[in-house]
Amino acid sequence: MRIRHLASLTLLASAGLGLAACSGGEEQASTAGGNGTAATAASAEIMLAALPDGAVGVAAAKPTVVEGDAVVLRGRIGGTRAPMTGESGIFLIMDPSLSPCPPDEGCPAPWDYCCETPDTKLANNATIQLVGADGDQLTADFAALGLEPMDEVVVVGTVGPRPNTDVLLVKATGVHKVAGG
Amino acid sequence: MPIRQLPFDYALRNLGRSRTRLAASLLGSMLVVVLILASGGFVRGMQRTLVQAEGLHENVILLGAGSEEALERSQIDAASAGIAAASISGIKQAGGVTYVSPEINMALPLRTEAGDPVERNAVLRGVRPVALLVHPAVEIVAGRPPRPGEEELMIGELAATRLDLPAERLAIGRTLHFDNRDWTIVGRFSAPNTVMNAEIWLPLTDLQVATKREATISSVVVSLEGGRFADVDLFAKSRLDLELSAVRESDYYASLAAFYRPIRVMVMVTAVLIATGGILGGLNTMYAAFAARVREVGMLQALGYTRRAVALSLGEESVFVAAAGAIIGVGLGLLLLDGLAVRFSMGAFAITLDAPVVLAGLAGGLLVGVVGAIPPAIRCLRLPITEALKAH
Repeated sequence: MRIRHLASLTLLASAGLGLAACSGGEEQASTAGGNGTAATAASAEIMLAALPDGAVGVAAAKPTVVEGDAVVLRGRIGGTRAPMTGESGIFLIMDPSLSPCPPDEGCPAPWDYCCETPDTKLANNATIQLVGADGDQLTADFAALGLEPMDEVVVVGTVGPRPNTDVLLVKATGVHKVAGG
Repeated sequence: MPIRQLPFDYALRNLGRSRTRLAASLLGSMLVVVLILASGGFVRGMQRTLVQAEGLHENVILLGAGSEEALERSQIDAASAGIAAASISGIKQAGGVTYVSPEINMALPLRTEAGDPVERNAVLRGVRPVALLVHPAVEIVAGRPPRPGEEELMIGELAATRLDLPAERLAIGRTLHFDNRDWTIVGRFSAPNTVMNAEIWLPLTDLQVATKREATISSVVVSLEGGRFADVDLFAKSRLDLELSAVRESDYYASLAAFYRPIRVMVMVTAVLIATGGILGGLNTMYAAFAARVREVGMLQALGYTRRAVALSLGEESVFVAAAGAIIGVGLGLLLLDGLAVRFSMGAFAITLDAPVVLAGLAGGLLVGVVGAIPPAIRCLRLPITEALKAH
């Protein structure tokens, strides 16, 4: 009888520990989830079939345009190692006259422009934010839109806030892909 | 047709036939469980500390472009914090405080005192008081936050492990030495399952002066409420003059966790190999136990018990011993291993024996019992009854 009790106790203890292990110590889910209202995804209609007229390079536009100006800007997607963020609908462009760094410069990616000085990059870069007709920020699946780093593009939009002359933000309502990278 | 079973008492009584063998089986199962708990707890603790799922807020880190994989390498304009606070919408605010925390993260060698020849690599974080709001996982458990200009520090619970010092050496009132000065420990904080738990915190301005980087900081941590990551990313990508990059805090630490994945895999592989060794050891013990009972097994079959009934009884013996060993192993593991601090390059973490790890340990112990019984039982039962009865 004593042995049976011991055996029962042992097996019950094993089962109990197992059940406790199953029920306790629940993982907390990551709290860094979404916040704020969800943005609309940019549709393919944002891509313009025809080349817009009057495009100017970033370097030419940057010194003169002010907030609220309508612009047609030409540039090459790049400027940092990750120049495109689909979640934000944002990409960076560099003036097309500025050549990407050659491979022997050792840049992480050719669109990084790591061989250029910070002043040169600042004079030739711009930030493009895709917006809808109502001006609200859009998200973008750039792969689906056919855009990737090193693509030459022409964007149509409005100049955003310019806290200083180094900052050029264009809220773009249309993008035309001139050539692939 | 139901098979005629051997009584459970029979299996249990057989355990007492050889106390040495019983002890060996118990020890084998116990060791396998302890090893599984140790390796599982190691992997779990490291993963939880690096992923920091429990400690994260809706935070986004603004750091230097190109330094997205190492905060310690990042250098950004100290004015970025103020510019970010003014430019980004949807930042959390409470009581008039905007949840924007400028910080310096760096590894710095320090000594226990001026004459100490041993330099210890500490992870320091220069912060302003708002950091305690931006990082809600951090809780002051003793003393108070350090005051600027007073050469004061606040240390994390695992900072002693990081520095390879006894905990009492970092008690409130004791000092540490760096930048040719003694710094007094005035507080201790707890940030469980985060890398911050092994850090030393001090006022941002003091660390800037000590490291001669008054114009730069490592990062700005922003807590969002109503805002989106896209808003912070837009700020970083539009203010190209500040050379910033925006990364979710969860993504940053997830990338660090991925960096340490090979170590975790190696630990698990080692645990599997050791557990396999334990199973084979248990198997060996069972072989010896059953080999001495071939005649008895033959007798039981002669009495009318089927091979299946006898095999079940042998299995009951093995599983019972393994279960007992597993319980002892889990008890020892929880007593000796849970919460044990382990130092690594990023700081320190505590071995975590949570539910999945305990379950894995128990399952491993029971597996020793089940697998350890099968081959010997098959060997015993393979013999014809007449030959079994003649065995010595």
